[in-house]
Amino acid sequence: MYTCTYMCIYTPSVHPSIGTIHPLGPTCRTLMLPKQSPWLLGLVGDDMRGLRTEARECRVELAGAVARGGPFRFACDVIKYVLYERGQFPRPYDQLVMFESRRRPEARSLATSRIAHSGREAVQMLANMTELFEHLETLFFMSVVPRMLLLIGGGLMSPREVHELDMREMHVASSAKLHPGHCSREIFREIFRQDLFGALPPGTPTTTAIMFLAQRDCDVDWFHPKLSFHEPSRGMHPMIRLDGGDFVWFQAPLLLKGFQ
Amino acid sequence: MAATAVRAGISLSGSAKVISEFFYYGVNNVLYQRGVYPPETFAHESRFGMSLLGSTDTAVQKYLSNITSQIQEWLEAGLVRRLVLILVDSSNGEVLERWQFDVTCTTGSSQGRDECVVKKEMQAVIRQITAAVTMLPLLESPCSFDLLVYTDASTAMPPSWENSGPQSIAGGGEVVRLRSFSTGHHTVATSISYRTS
Amino acid sequence: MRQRESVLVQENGDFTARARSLERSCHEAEVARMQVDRRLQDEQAQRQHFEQLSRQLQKRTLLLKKERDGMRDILESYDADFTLAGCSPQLIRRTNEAEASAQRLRVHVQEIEGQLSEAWEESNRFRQKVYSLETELAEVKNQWVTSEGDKFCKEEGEKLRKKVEELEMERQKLEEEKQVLKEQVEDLKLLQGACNSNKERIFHLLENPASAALQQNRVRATELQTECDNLRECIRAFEAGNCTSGTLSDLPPPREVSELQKQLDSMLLRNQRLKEVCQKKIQEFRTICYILFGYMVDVQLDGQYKLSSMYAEQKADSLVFKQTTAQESGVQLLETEFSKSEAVLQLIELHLHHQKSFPAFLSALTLDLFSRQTCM
Repeated sequence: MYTCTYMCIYTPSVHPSIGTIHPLGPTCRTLMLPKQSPWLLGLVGDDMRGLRTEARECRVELAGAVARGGPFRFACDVIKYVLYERGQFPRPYDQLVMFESRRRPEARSLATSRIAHSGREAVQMLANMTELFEHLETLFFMSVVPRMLLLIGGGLMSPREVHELDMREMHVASSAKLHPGHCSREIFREIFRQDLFGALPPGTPTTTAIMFLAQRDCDVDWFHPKLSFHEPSRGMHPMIRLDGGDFVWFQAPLLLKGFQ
Repeated sequence: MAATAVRAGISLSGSAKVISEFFYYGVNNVLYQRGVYPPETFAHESRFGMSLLGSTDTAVQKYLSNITSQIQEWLEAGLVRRLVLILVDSSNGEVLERWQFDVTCTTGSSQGRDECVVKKEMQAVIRQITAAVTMLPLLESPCSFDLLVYTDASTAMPPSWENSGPQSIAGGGEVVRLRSFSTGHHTVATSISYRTS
Repeated sequence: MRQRESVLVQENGDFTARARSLERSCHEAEVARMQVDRRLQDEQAQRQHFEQLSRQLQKRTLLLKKERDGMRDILESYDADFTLAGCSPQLIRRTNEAEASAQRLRVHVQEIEGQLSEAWEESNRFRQKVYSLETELAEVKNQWVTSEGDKFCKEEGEKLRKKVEELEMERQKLEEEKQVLKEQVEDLKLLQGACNSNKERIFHLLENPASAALQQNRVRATELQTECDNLRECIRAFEAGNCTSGTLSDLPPPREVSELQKQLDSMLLRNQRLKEVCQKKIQEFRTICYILFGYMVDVQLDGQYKLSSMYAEQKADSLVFKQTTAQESGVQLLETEFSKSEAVLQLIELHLHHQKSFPAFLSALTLDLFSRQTCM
């Protein structure tokens, strides 16, 4: 059985009310999966304040091994989606890119400073994201990256929200038939079905840091290793041994500043 | 406009207007996200405290405003049951995707809810509609769209409208429910059904 | 005397015996007479009874006769009526029908009676069965009651009862689940678009983008189809070698096409010949330069030339010159293995750096190499 997990933990200071959320009923189809060792792909969100935390987990079942480039694709899609969903972008990433490329010739003639300011922020954010994705592709090529953390607001030590993508039990094979695009859609379908973000209050623009767990000896100098970084609590070990490799947390050396 | 201690709730006609506008922008959003019209034919408009997309194609604008004005009338009279946007394969007329907005009219003298609260709920639904494209299958052939309105059986047919079937997806398709919102006078629940390969 | 007495006594005795026997026979006769009397009475009674019966029968026959006469009269009167009114065929038909229906009813009654008897038999059978089962049950109950003291049976009974309870609960749960799933299926159908046609109707605009796009598509498809057909016709016509309909007028006639083809062929041929001549001439020129000036010039790249001397000590010894647009002279000497050798460096120093003359340098080099050769 191949599965994918999303978990989101949040401490609500005010109980949110985003209207009635309909309970999601069963889907129309069932996945027939081989009953072997489970392969998981998971996302986890956590609040570091340690108060009454709410954990939401979403497991996505993938019906087989994923092609190469799958993990990279999922990481990018999750970053784009979570940042939009949690209020760091006013529009989804792809729309931002498209409108920015259309707007660039007119940007010089902008009159009001307000528009110019948000235009600048958007440009900066897009530039950061592009740089991040470029280096991320290299990282995924040089090392196995089983986990990714998005720390939104608050800082590394006590972020407001933590979202984790857990690909430890996901199987990647070059001969795999599952297209990464199809799997990516499957993941988001499951997130939608379980209405994972429904209970969270709307997010406000803040800074986001991104951490990746990768092999210590992988030759990527753009990312900064953070040996003293501890993951969110609840019994997780700071170091993980996978196939004899030594894994360490790396931080992307830029902070993504959300904007409206 | 000075803020008052107790805000008056939205009126019935206000609710009808807000919901038909929501539908207008919701449809535009879907047309953009699903690539029914080229992205260059959309422009940003500020509405409901968000930056929303509207088509600049005059034919589409005319068609949509025609429908939304009729819907507004029907909403005020409490006749609307459902609003449906279908995406249709242009080569063979097959229904590929179906965006359904179920409307429940609360009858009698119901109190309208605070406009700010309603706006926040609508924002959440619109954001969800926008994000929904991440999980929908790719539309590989060129599509066009049609809008259906389910009304009470007693509703008279306006001129230049005609009866239609439900235009469901063959085999029913997969269904995903999105969030809903309520103005106090009307409640709108959104769901998407799409074809499984 | 005594003899008389004894004779008298004997006579008395005889007389008394005779009297007694006479009495007896009288009595017997009396009895017989009474019997006969009784029998006579019986016979009389019988005879009276029969007389009565015969009287009754006579009366009855009289009545019957009267009735018969009366019926006969009625029938005769009816017959008379019928022959007058002329509706006898109708009535005959009606009576026939009535007879037929009577017959059917009789048959039906028979069937029903048959069914009834069958049902009766079946109910009897069931009654018997019930009875036998009841007796069996009573027996079993007795047995069970008698074995009440047997703990094993009790335990089993308990187990079975528990199992029954569990199954009952499961069944209820499944029933509830089924209900829930039913509701969900209904919900799903609604979400997929099902319409309750009693309560709802569905409208859409006559002119809508989907129908417009489909129409456009259809029109385009027919246009493409006709174009395709036309083109197929054209191709067929060409293959047949004839030029037919007016639609082919925009294509050049075959004669022109063959002329153009000939022109093209001749031009290609001319081109080819020119190339060959050029090549030959170039080769001749290069050879004469080599022979007269002593250097073979090879073009390495565009603007870059390699010169190899006739008198070079090794085949690989060569100088490379590059054409530049920057300097006045427009030519630079690039470094090679050969140009780094001492003798050449001296020459470079003298003729290029001081005298700034390429011909001087090259000539000096030729002489130098020549002298070396002849010395060896």
